This record gives sequence, C-alpha cells and structure tokens, in this order.
Amino acid sequence: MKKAAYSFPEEVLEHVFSFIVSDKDRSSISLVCKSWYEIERWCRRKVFVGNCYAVSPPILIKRFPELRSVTLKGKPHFADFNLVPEGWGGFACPWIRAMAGAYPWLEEIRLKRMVVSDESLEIIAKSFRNFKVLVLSSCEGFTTEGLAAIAANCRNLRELDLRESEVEDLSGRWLSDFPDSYTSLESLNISCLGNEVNLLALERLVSRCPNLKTLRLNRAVPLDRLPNLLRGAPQLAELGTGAYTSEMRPDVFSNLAEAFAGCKQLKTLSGFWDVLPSYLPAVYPICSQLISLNLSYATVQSPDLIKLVSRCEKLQKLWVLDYIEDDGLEVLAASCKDLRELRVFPSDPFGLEPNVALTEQGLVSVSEGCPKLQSVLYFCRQMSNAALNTIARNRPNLTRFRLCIIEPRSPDYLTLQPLDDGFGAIVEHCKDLRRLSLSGLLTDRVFGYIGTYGKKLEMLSVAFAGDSDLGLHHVLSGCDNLRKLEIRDCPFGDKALLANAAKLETMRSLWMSSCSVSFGACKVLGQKMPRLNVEVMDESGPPDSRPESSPVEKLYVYRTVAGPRLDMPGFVWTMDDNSALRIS
Amino acid sequence: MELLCIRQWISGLLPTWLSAWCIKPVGGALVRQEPEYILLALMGSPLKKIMLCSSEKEIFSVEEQVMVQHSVIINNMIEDGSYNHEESKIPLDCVDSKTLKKVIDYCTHHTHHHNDNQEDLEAWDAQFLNVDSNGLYDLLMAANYLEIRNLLDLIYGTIKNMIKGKKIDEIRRIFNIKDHGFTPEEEEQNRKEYPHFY
Repeated sequence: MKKAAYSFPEEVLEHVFSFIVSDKDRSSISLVCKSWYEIERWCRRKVFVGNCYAVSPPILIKRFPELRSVTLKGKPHFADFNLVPEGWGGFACPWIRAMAGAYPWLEEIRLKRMVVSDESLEIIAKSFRNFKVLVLSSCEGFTTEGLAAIAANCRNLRELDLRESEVEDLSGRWLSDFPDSYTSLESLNISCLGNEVNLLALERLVSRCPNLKTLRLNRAVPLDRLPNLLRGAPQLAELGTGAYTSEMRPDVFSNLAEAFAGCKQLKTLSGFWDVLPSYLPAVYPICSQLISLNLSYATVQSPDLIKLVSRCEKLQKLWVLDYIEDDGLEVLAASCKDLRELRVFPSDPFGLEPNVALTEQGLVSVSEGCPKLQSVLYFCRQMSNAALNTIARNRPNLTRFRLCIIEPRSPDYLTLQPLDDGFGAIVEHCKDLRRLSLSGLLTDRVFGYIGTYGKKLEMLSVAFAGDSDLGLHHVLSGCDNLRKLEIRDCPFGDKALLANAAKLETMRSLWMSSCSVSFGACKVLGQKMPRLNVEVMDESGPPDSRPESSPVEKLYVYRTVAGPRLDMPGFVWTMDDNSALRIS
Repeated sequence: MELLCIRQWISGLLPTWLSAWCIKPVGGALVRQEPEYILLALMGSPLKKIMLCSSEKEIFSVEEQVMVQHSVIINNMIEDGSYNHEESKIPLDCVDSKTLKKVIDYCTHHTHHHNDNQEDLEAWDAQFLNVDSNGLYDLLMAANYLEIRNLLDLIYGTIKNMIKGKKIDEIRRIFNIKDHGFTPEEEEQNRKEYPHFY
C-alpha cells in the first residue's frame, strides 16, 4: 500500500489543529498550503486582531465563520500618554453589529483601547445567547446603562472586566440588574468606576456565585464592608480592595484580619487606595501565599512597604510606587526570590526635585537578588551606564525592559555621557528581549546596538533620542522580529522611512510624532505601499496647505488588508496610492 | 505442567455443577468443552492467542489479552463471541503487514511494561514513532480502525509536534506537501508579510 505522496484526512488534521491554539501557530498552519488554510479557517475558534483597522468585519467573518472568541485592539499604545486626540477612531460598534449577525454562538469579546457605546453593549447583551466573557481594557464611550443591559441579559456571563476603562458612572444601580437566579460569575473587575455601587446588591451577588475567583472593587467600596464580602467568597483567588482606610477601630481591624485569614486561596491583591498604614497588617496572615501584589495606588512610605513585602516570600509580581525607595527594593531582592515582574511607578512625576530616595541602585539590587526577574518597568531620575551594564549581566533572562528616566535626555549622571553603552549592554546580553523602552540621553549608536543585537525584539518605544535617520535605519533594517515601533520627538526623517518601506509590511504598526518626516515623504510612502495605510494626523489643518517638505505632526503607518479606513475624523488623512489626499 | 496433569488437577477442582456445564452446543450436537479451557478462560489466561490477518494475508499470532486491552474493536469481537479461537482469524484488510506488526509491538510492549516508569515509557514511545510520515499515516489509519485510543492520542500528539513551532518550509517538507496550492502572487505576498514564519 505504498503512496507516492499521502495526505492526512481532513478530520485528522482538524483534530490535530484543535490542539494547536496559539495565534502564531494557527497563522503558520494557514500558510502551509491552501487545503490547510481551508481546514484551519473552519475550525478556528479564537482570533486576536492586534489592530482593528488591519482587517474589516466582513473580511474576518468571511474567513472565520465559526468563531467563539474575538479580541480587538484599537488605538495605538501612545494613546495612553494622551498623544492620540479625541475622536481618532477605534470604534467597536461596526464590529459588534457585524458579529451579532454572524456569530450567534460567540462567547468572548475582549477589546482594548476602543470606543464602545451603550448601544454596542446592548447589542452584545441581546445577540449572544451563550455569552461568557466581556473584557473592556482602557476603553471608553459607555455608561453604567450599558452595563445594566449586560447584567440583565447575559445569563451565562462568567467574566466582566472593565479594567482601566473610562465609564460614565450614572448610577450604581446596574449591579442590581443581575437577576437573583444568576450565579455563574467567576470574575468581576469594576475598579475603574467612580461612584458607589449598590453595596447590598454586590454582597448578594458575591455570596451567591460559588465560582467567583476574581473580585476587583472600586475605590468607593468602604473598607468596613470588605470583611462581609470576603466572608461571602472565601474561595477568592484575586482581590482588589476599595479604599483602604477607615476610622482606626480595633474591631474593624480584627474583623478585617480575620476575613483575610479566611481566604485560603487568595493569591493576588490590588486596590489599596488611600491606605491607612495601620491597616496594612490586616493582610499579613495571607502574605506568605501571595504571588501578585499591586500597590501602585498605595501612597505609603518605605518602612510600611518593607514590612509588607518582606513577608511575601512567594511573590512573583510587584507593582509599587517609588515610595519603596532603594532600601525597600533591597529588602525585596532579599525576600522575594521568585520575583518575575517589577514595576515601579513615580509618585510625583512632574516634580522638579526627587521626592524619594529611589535611584538606579534599587533596580540593580533587584537584578542581583532575583534570579527569575524577566519583566521590568522602572521610573527613576538618574541612571548610569555602569548600572545598566550590571543589570544586563545579572539578568540575561530579561524579556521586557522599560526604563523611564523622568527628565528627557538625561545623561549618565556619573560620567555625563550618553546611555548608549548601557542600553547596548542590555540588548547584547538579554538575548530574549522582546520589549524595550528607552530613555535618557541617547545617540544613533544605541540604535546601532539595537539593530545588531535586538533580533528577538518585537516592540520598541523611543522618545527624545538619536541624532539622525541612521538611528531609525539601524532599527528597521536590523530588528528581524520587530512588530511595533513607537517614536516621539526624535530627529528621524524621510530617508530611513522610505529606504525601509518594505519592512513596514512585516510589522503591525509604526507611530512617529514630532519627528522630521515630511508630508511629501508620507505621500510617496502611501503611493509606494498599497498594503499600508499611511495616516497623517495634524490638528493645525490639512497638510497640503503647507509646503511638501514641512514635517507632519503625527504619522501612523500600519499594514492592512482592508484598505483606507472610512471613519477618520477631520484631523486624519490617509495617503492614498493615487497620491490624492483622502478624507473620509 | 503436563496437559494431562492439568486436566486431572482441574477436574478435581471443579465443582460438580460446573463440570456439568462443560457442555457446549456446536453445530447442533452437544460437545463436551474441555474443562481446562473453561478454567483458563475464567482465569483470563495470558497464554491464549488470537490470529490477526494483514491485508497481505500474513497471519500474526498475538496474545488475546494484549489486543483486548488496547483495541476496542477486537475487544468487542471477542466479547460478543464472533471470534472462535479454534478456527478464526481476524481479517484486517486495511492494515498491511509492516504496520500490523508495529501495532502489535505497541500493544504488547504497553501491556507487558505498564508498570514501567513514565520516562521510560515515553522514551520507548518516541523511538516507536520515529518513522517517516508515510509510516505515521499508516499507523494512524490502523490505530483508528482498530480503535486503539492511547496509540491514537500518541500519534495525534506527534503530528501536532510536527507542526507546532516549526517553520513553514519545514512543515511542507515533513508532510511531503509539494504543491502548496497558493498562486505565485499569494505565496510571494505571504512571504513578504510573514518572513519569519518561513
């Protein structure tokens, strides 16, 4: 029974494909051959669209007719720093309308940096009978009325997560719209809501959902209501407290401590707004079981932070304000040997003088003491090449390194030299580095290092750095795996951009603002590359009212199969391939 | 033990009511069933063999216990009595000799070595599946036909690993895909947009 070339039957391949779920592998499968492409697209259940304008709803639906889970991302990352004007785009409605018609069995929708209306939420609530998961991350445009529709209609809802979204909080009543018969909630994150929710309804909801594992409250939930909530859900694994302050009363404290102690599965804590330090010891009973601690709202000083953190020997993830200071980070390094991720946020980013004793030394200590450290986000006011070198050699296993020296163009504070060599050491030694954010005084040399060594780099953020186009050229020509590049206030211009136009088709997106890219070059790029959308943003008026050589305010380039978008606001223009200025 | 001794020993052991049952109707006549066969059947003798016949008409003798443990199809045949030990062989017209031998190897090893530690078993499995994709295909078809669950899962896992994390050119080579079916323009565009996949 010899066959010259065989092929596995379709059912076999479909069965095998069902074990292969990562997006990368699924994309790979669909590129192997046409018949695999066909089999794969029918059995794809989960899709991730990193840029909602890279594809359109009809194209997605046509290719993947049987989806159960869709993730969409809208605005570029720099929207988080207010660089993307209001009304730019990222509207979820067309997607939700289209999916309502095409995917009656859709179970999960995850949106990030998108504009979501109440109408969209109502459509979701009414269209998907088996709807289970709604995650709205850094979204905006909806009110608590939309949430009420979800609560009232989604019988099978398991997860409602509004992380960091801007919600117009009209009333806390919406929580009562979950029917009494509804018990399937597993995860609830309302931490971004401004107003009080109906606390009785919350308590009843929490206590009647036996599978509730994640509960992140908003600031308005007072501390003295927390014990009751915890007692209603002793199986909680992740808790975000509300305001962590109250009149200091021993009964409140002991009640709280007892309630915490009763949560034997609690592994993650967050919240901690307005912390009263004397209440922190209430969490001591569970510190030894914590793997993740988010204290980025906790304005407490180093000694209290030290007392807390030193008890968390299993800690893998810590987000904290710079109040922790170098001393606190040294204790962290000594106590938390399992630490994988550290983020230190600035307590006073706009102050001119340092308000805390946090320097590069804190990060060096952690890099020395925590062998599993992979992911770092660190705000500080001074850095040296020597420190970066030490960190790089200590921790070659770093995969994410985001350093934010608060004052732009700060040199090595010891030598007054640029920090090129320090960051060069980072990319050279950390061979698996996937994400890098630069800061401080940097010349084109650092980009040479990045292009040479950053072979696994997928995302690079640059601000106030470099001398010339050569810097940009090094990155675009050298970083083989680059997917997202975001640049602001750098002297990068036309030459590097046009010379590396083809590279842009291999990336998700490029953002350049306050750089030296001319309007003329944008037009050329748009003409040359029909599969890219080259969008110019200018709030001061149409770019063709100025000379071709004048630099554009903001440039956003992304690959797409959907052609130019049709929902642009007045300050965004797409450079079309017929070089006419296209407005929507 | 000598067959005669076994027979006497067993006859001595069997209670009278069971001895009376040593009677089986065959072709209309009552034939006395040999007692030792009954007791051996009661004990689930590992020595009892069954015959499997490949598509190339080659006969393979294999312990019944081994095949019954692994193959749902064969287990059903034995249980519902459609397999007569003295005369029958099970014809497997879709399985060639080479593949059948391998399937028998697999089942035999896993029956006899089921107490081995996990690492050793996995190493043996890996070695066992070190075949080209044609061979893998034949094994998959055979395991599917015979409904051998653990072998099927093993093969599915192996096929998965032939795909997961591999570059596309390599996948095409492994699966012997000579014509990918995309137009030259499509293929070129794909290579342009996803260079690190190839």
